[in-house]
Amino acid sequence: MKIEIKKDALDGNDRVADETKRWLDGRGITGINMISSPGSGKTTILEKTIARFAAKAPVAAVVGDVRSRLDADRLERAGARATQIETGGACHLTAARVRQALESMDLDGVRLLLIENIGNLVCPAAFRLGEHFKVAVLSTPEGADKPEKYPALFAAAKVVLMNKTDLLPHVDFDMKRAADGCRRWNPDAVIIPVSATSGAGMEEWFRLLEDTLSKR
Amino acid sequence: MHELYLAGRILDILEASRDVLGGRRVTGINLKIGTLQMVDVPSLDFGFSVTAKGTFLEGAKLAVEKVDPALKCSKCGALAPPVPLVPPAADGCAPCAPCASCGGREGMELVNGREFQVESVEVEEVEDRDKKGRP
Repeated sequence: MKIEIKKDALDGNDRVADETKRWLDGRGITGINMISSPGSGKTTILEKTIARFAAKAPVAAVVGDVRSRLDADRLERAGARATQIETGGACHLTAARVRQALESMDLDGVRLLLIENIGNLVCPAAFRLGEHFKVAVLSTPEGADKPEKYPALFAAAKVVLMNKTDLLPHVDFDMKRAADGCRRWNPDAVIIPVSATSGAGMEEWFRLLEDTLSKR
Repeated sequence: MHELYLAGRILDILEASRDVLGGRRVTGINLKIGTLQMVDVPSLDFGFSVTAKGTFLEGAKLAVEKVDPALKCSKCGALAPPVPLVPPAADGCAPCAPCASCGGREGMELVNGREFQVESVEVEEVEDRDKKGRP
């Protein structure tokens, strides 16, 4: 005998994420969930972003890693109020862990919340954290085929930063193929080639963030 | 890698639905999983068997129906699978594929492919258990 249930297993996480989003809305904070593989340059991008925005209003950062608080220390030095989540093995952040971290932070005056997810192209894409949008980072040494190979993230990301363009002369990376791979899953994706190290293209990313913040 | 987490949520959902089950033994759980969830079914089976051990769901078998991703045209509402991209149009439109039904370029929204739904469960009829219970 069959009994109908019809419930989604991610609803529990999504409910907390929705609550967090409303909570952030109530404080006028825009939340960003940045996802990529390890070593793509998320932390460097965030350091530069914090350096640009922290002068106007305090920036909050929540950083997920399996172990260590190396990244939270870096973001703090860059000028953010940073909290590290050490998952001890879990490969993704969940809405509940992020909510817990946010409740322990001083968010007075904060307009921008940067969440740096665990370096992983698979699992973090399945868990909304309460962010207003996801940003995927793909670095040129990783190869242009990654959006085709890991579609879940690139389907969910509103913005894709193609990082390490300063290495383009040294690596075999077809920018058009990477961009087409993203747009196959998300025709509206905003794709910005950047080099966090040299600063190239970063102004366009800052402008997008400024536009988002000014509309809220 | 998140299969163990999802196995735990299956347990949560059915724990919350226990009154609907009326104490009947659950033999199977029917799931609808979008392929964009990137769920590895053998890992999910293993994760579930560990999570369900010692609970009222121990021994229940998972049956998975995969759901392919679909994009919905925001102009005409037609559903289409993601297709290889066409070259940029002569009108200079960004390299986005037009809707196959209406040709519109108003944008396509991803509607299927991300679900992880507990659709239904298979339960033992109470009479079945009575019969089996007799010597």
